[in-house]
Amino acid sequence: MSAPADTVLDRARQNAGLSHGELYLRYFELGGMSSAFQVEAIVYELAEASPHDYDVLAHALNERFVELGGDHPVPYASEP
Amino acid sequence: MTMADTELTLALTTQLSEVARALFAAGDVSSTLQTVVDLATATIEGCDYASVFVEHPAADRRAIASDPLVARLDELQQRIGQGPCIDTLRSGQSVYVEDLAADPHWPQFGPEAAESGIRCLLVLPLSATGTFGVLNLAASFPAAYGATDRAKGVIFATLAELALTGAQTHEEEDRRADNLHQALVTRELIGRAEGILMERERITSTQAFDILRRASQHLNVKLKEVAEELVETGERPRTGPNDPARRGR
Repeated sequence: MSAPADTVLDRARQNAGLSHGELYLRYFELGGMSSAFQVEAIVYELAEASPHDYDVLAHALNERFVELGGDHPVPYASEP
Repeated sequence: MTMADTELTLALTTQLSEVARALFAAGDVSSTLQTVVDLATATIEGCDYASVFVEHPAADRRAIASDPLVARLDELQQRIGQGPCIDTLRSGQSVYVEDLAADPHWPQFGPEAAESGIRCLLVLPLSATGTFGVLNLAASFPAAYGATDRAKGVIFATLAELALTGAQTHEEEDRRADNLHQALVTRELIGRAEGILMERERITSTQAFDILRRASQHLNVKLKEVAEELVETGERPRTGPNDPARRGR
């Protein structure tokens, strides 16, 4: 099995100290509509997210970074 | 096997079965730990005090002792960085100290422990899945445990380990269910806030989420709190200077 791709969202997920399950729960809480499997595929850039879906994920990660005393390091799709 | 041996084996089996039943019925991790120390002193002959602790990646370190004396013994080992409990933590192997006053392995811990009233110690590892812990069986007299007592201690520790794993799994399931419930409540709240914005501003749900998300970032509070405020007060959240819904109006 090859190692998962190094992607922006996955790097952020790891830096935020979140498992895939924990990230999915936060995404779901914010109203995300994709399944856990789809979210994991988006994180690894194996599936394309709609800009809205991407922003929900980015915000789920950013809220975690704020909890850890950081800012909003993950850029939003709707803010080019 | 003599008649006496058979009777002894039967008594031992019955006793350990009862221990297993009590340990598995204890419930959560804290109650299981309490039952472990209570039953250790009651079951292992010669054991005057017992203490146990477990570490788990998903939870804090939890410790319990049957008596402050043995709790102080654990603290002493942590403070000076030597002792049989620390050796067991490092090696994963059990350690039996017949007489702490005479054992040269721990030149500082041994005499201090003996001074405090503990002479004999059997330390057993508890290494269930994803967990690591230690069970200390302490005695006031040297050479308190015979071969049968030590064997009983090993079986007791295995039962304790299995019961603790069960209790931890149970607690994790409860925690997961609580998290999911909380996520559903928040999701519902955010949906209501989006609905208010959609109806009022004639926008899509994506645009409504965007307003909440920008407000969360601008006010540096969680999106959930922005949604709560909107649902409670009906006031549109402040989103800062770059609100796309307001631009060009």
